[in-house]
Amino acid sequence: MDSKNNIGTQIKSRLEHLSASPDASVWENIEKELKKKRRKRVIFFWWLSSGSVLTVALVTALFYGYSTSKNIHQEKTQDVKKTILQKNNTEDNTDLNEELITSSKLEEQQKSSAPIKVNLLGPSKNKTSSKAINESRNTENTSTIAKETNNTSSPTKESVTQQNNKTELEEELSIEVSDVTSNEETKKLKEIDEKQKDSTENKDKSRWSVTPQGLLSYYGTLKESSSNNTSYNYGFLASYKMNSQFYARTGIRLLNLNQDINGISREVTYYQFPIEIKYVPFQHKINPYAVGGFSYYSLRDSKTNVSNQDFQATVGLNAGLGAEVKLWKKTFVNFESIFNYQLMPFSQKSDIKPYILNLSLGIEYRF
Amino acid sequence: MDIDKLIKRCKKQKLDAQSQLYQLYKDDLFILCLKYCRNKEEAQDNLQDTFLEIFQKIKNYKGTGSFEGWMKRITINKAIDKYKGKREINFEINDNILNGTEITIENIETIPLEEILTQVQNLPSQYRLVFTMYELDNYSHKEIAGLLNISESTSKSNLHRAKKLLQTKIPRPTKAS
Repeated sequence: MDSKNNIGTQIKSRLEHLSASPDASVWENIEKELKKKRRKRVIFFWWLSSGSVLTVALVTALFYGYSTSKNIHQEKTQDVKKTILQKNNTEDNTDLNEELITSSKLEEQQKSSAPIKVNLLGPSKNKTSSKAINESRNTENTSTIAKETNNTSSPTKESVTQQNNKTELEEELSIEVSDVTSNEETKKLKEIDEKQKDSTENKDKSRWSVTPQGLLSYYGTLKESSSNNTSYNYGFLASYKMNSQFYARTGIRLLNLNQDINGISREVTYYQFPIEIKYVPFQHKINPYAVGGFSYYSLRDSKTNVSNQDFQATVGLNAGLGAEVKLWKKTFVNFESIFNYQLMPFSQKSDIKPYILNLSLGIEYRF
Repeated sequence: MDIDKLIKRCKKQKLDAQSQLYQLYKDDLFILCLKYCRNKEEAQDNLQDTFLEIFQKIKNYKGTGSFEGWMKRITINKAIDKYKGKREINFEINDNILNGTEITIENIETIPLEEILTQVQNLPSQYRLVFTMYELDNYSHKEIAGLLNISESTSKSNLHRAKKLLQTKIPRPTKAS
């Protein structure tokens, strides 16, 4: 037999009996690397999710900012309208004075936005009003009032003169205000009334809603570092509108949760029954909202590679933020981020303090 | 747990399953690493890189071939990546030095395993890769040439020189007087 061939065969034959094991540190390093990769994936995912939520929040804020300025304008217009209506109905000159003061203040606030033209008269509290009256009417009486008010040395005389002149002026202005109101203001009031009517007709009177939702759950712990925490889940919510801003809601979620802590792998499946209050401060096309409440967790299944861990049903506290976006008349899409803190989830004393962070996407239908 | 379930759970990146898979195959793959690497430390590094790649690529394993074979290929490829193209300096070989030298089967059995392994590990990297692939893992010269980016004749030449070196390096057992 050729020695060149022999040596290969001989070495192969000998090395087949070789036995060796790597040091324990090899697995420790591998485990560390695996956890690091998972953490990076989770961090990337949460950044992505947070970015999405932030974008929605930003869009909501911008939209709300626009809507708020529009609403302020509408509210002011309504105030003016109210004042004018009061003015039309009253025959008392003293009342008229007070209303005119109100109108004058409003006019000052919205000179640029409110096109309603009202001539004003009031006690000399409001210099702008007096000036406006002087300029627009250019009456001798007004000038006299101003002159006498400034120059007179006798308070009694001043008071009497002022009162007499004021009465004359008010009568004259009352006629003028009446004329203006009967033409331009009446038109504007009609427009406002029509707008209000439309808005009332379009207002959604739905009380109930249903929301199927998909969830991305992160099963973490407050005390220990954990890995392999994310899972996809789903659920269903039903809610009742208590008033324009508060909703009561409940439902069911099926949560398949997993986490690895110090080499102990846990997999639990819970039915979560949340009972929550949803607070929606605004009623626009995109609305941010807050949710708070508690959940009852019913254990459906549990797997762990450590036998002495025993899982049981538990309750938890929920709190979160979300945003709803109106797609159609009664259909909304909801984004939510809800933090669920579980109270005593293990029958044995365990100090890991688990929590669930759910990011959900749901389609809400109102009826 | 049977291997299919273990693979399935490893595909889901479950740490407990990955740990079990490691425990199951660590020794076999470590021995493979020892034959391709220069020493124990480098073999352990190679084993670590190998398992990380296995856990990363396991989702691509379709279950058509042998799972063990698939893992061994990853192990060998890792070692090849580590040493391919590396040329050790201070290495000279005299083709005439071993003329007439012959080690019999009887002799090699008396040499400790560790000593044989050490001499294989001490071969220059490209010789060691070619020798191990061809003699211990039954690769053909064509396959070796493809994996190491060398010609088939270079592979044959490297194998020949590796054998000669081993003949001279593996100590002869001392004869009883």
